[in-house]
Amino acid sequence: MRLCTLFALALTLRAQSATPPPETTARRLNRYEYNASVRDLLATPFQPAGDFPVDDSGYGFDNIAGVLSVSPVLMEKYLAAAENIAKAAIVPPVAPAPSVQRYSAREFRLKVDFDADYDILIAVRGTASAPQATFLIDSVPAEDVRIDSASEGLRAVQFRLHLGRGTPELSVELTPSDTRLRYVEIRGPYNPAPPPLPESYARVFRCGHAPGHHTLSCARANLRDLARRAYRRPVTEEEISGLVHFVDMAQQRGESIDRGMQLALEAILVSPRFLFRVEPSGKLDEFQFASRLSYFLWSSLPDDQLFQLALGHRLRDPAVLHAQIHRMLLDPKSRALVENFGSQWLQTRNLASIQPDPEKFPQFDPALRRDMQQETQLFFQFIIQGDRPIADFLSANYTFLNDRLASFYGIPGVEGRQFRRVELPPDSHRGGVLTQASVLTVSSYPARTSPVLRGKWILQNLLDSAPPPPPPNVPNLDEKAIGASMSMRQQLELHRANPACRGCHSRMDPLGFDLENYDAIGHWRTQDGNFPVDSGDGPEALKQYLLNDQNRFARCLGSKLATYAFGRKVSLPSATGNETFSQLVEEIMTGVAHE
Amino acid sequence: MNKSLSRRAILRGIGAAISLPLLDAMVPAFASPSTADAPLRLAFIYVPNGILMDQWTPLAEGPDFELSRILTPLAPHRENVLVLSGLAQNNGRALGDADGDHARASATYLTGVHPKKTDGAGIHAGISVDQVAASHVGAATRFPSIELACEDGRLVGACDSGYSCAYNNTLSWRTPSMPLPPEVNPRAVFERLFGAIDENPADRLNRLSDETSILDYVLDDTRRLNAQLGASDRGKIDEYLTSVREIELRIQLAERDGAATPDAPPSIHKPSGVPADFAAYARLMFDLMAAAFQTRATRVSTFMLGREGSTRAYREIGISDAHHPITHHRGNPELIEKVARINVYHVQQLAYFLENLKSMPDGDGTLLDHSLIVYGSGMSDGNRHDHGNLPVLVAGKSGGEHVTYPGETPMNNLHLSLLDRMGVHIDSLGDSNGELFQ
Repeated sequence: MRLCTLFALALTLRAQSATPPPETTARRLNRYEYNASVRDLLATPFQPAGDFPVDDSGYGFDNIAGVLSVSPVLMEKYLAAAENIAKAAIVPPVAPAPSVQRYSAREFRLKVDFDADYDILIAVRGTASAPQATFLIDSVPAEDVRIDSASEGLRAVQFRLHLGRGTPELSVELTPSDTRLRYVEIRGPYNPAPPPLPESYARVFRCGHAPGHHTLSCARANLRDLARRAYRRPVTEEEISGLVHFVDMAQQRGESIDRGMQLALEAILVSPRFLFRVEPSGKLDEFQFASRLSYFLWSSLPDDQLFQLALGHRLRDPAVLHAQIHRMLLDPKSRALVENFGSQWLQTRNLASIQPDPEKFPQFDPALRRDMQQETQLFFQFIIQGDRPIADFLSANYTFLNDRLASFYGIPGVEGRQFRRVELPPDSHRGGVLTQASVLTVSSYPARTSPVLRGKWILQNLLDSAPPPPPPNVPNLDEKAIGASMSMRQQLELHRANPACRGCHSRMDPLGFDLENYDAIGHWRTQDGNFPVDSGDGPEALKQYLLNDQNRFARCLGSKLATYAFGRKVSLPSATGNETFSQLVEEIMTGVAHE
Repeated sequence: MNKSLSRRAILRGIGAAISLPLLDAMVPAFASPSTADAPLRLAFIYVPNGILMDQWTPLAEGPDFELSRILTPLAPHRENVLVLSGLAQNNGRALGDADGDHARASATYLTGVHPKKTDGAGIHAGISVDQVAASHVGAATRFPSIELACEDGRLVGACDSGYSCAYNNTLSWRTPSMPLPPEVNPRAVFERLFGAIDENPADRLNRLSDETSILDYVLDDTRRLNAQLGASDRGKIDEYLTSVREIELRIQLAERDGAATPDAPPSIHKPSGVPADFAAYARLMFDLMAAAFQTRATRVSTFMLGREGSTRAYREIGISDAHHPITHHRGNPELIEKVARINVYHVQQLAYFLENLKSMPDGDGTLLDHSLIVYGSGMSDGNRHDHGNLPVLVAGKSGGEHVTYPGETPMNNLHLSLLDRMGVHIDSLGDSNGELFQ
């Protein structure tokens, strides 16, 4: 290809600008999905998408088909990532050349990467006598030697030991006890046993041959299997031939089948069939349906079980689908739903970057930040794995705490750093996401609470009726006055007197006021500056209000979940509020799926 | 230059009857035309949430203007800076789409096209001026363009109502539906420009050849896939194809250039990550852009010091309030002062960049002599969300003048003139209705 192509490209681009964009149904994997898909395809232990550009979001989520493009920069990164992944996944690890490590302590821990022989040299400071050295591996004596004192120079002794893989604690005991150690040197590895192949190698070479002994016919079988899993559907012989071509190419160049497989894997990882999920506007086929389900609940590829069900046209069978949804929510991979859907729905993803004013909130430190995040994640995870009623999001009588967060909340009887489920005492002022410090913090300003922001948060995330932003150039609150010369309510009433503001604020402010007993990092308070907190009807009444209207909450949550699942704006008018979490998922996969 | 100014003085008397001040005599000196020896570079530097116009705009016009408070950090570069007042991005206004001025400010800044109001389905703006330049002059450089930013778009719920975050997060649109995400990590920028690994020339050529084979397979595969898709399913796949072709072209270019691995200039070392201090962060990104220009890795770049609607708190200069909320100062002098200090702080970083470009020899002069650096925002008054009379300046070989354009001269007229200087001659872009410099 030819430099004039760029000119042709420019013409194409200009031509494209004239036509409106078509509806999008090809969904690009986002960064999280890319990482998870590679992990489940190859069992490689790294996060290749770390350097990819941040995914743009729409409708509050970063997996929306219409906004995820493949820019040239991203294509460049896909190519580089594919090379790195293929190199890590397929090349069997090689024992390095022997090297020397020197330690001056009598006890130290050694990382042994290879099951092999090692030379151990113990050097002591000059003494008249010939001291005795005992070398211990994990406190078990492995070698007793005499350090010959004949030489006046270096007094040292060397011996060879076999060490297994691991991180043993090595130590030296010297007699007489006043003998001073200079250093211990470990040289190796020598004669290493063949290292075990990485899991990824077995995922690619299912034929089971040792490295270097693969045949061309097993390359074809391996590629058929690998491409099927990566593309999430059966592949044609023509497609496989395109991939086997890389193995031929490598062999013609005098390279190994392994090298050819690397290239084929790279091609798979940059193919549009891997990077995109195509979901036509009409009814999905079985494999598309399996992918939608697995990316919805796992942000990753369908596993073999889902694939087999799709192959047998059984996944849509209501009983089968029901069982699969249960199985998938219980699988640890459903953590993706907590991390991606949960943290974006509740906006707790913003906790990572939020900076409460350190002068007003000195107790907000990185540990408390992590604890807040952790509470909400465990709570969410419990609801989906325990298949709890979705009303628990509003008013559970339990939460997840460790000692730090419990003392922050003023809840007694929780000891130790590990999180555990705690039944909430009636007077704890906690229960449900609205009372969790994470949510209360992300819906506040750095230096103070905002009934407006919290009201907006509730309308937007629990009731699906986000107010428009304020018109520009309207008077803000007088920050200095809040809590000093005027209460928050007096300030906001002043604001609401403006007719341009009243419409929205009469909806937002009362909801937010009910949470005024929680400060800007979610701590319970009864006083705000010089004024007693004016908390409207209080958090319990707010929860009751939301529960009384729980089909509205259910439609909101259901629509957001469906939008996340479909990658485009979808609503779920059928939700009633009496569902458990898995029932809501089923409703989305069966009801909306046939719209 | 004096000659043009006397003409301007005459024209000013005629006032609004003349729609475009004629700067023909001045502009050829403003930037040397591209030569093979020292091609012209083009960069757009963006600051979010508008700028306080009464503290930005110089009071006097012409060459004898005094630098305003916000422009004061540019004193050493006064003769290299042309301050342009009166330019507008009319398509940034609501035009029936109600709220969303922040999204529209960044989406129109380099496109001059009214963006489609959508949160997800069918995002659509226009090709941006930098990408027009890149598609014409970018084939001769290793990268057609580079996009940089000092803030990523990871916040949830932080985008303008009814608009996808894509509109706030970038200035650069490769196609009307393909926004180009900026790179925010200095280390990643460095690795992209100068290589992540040390590679010997033979290995590099082998890798390039393998990559070509892989992309050939992918192009074939995409054709097969497209045959199975309905026309309406192809939009995103077509964009993907565009990117694959662009990378393929880049690989061919690299092969043509032989196996030389480009070295980073000695002035810059591989960064380890994102500096916590804003000025250090911005300066590092500026250094990388200068290095990219210096080594001819690219001739075109955009750089957002913050994404539109940014809520960064500039604690480095003692401001712990979030940026966006305080720009809605509704006349409160205390808030206005904070915004002004942020505006000055940003221009200080620009001054650093210009100084850097001046210190780098290039062709018969310095790198700044062969650059067009545009600085500004897609809003003037952030308090009222104004898209008229935008803050704009252009830095380059010569300047030293403040020019005011009448009424609602489209900012895209400037873009057209910049393209002209880059050797790209097109009739119109977005809502342009002529060239600024004729």
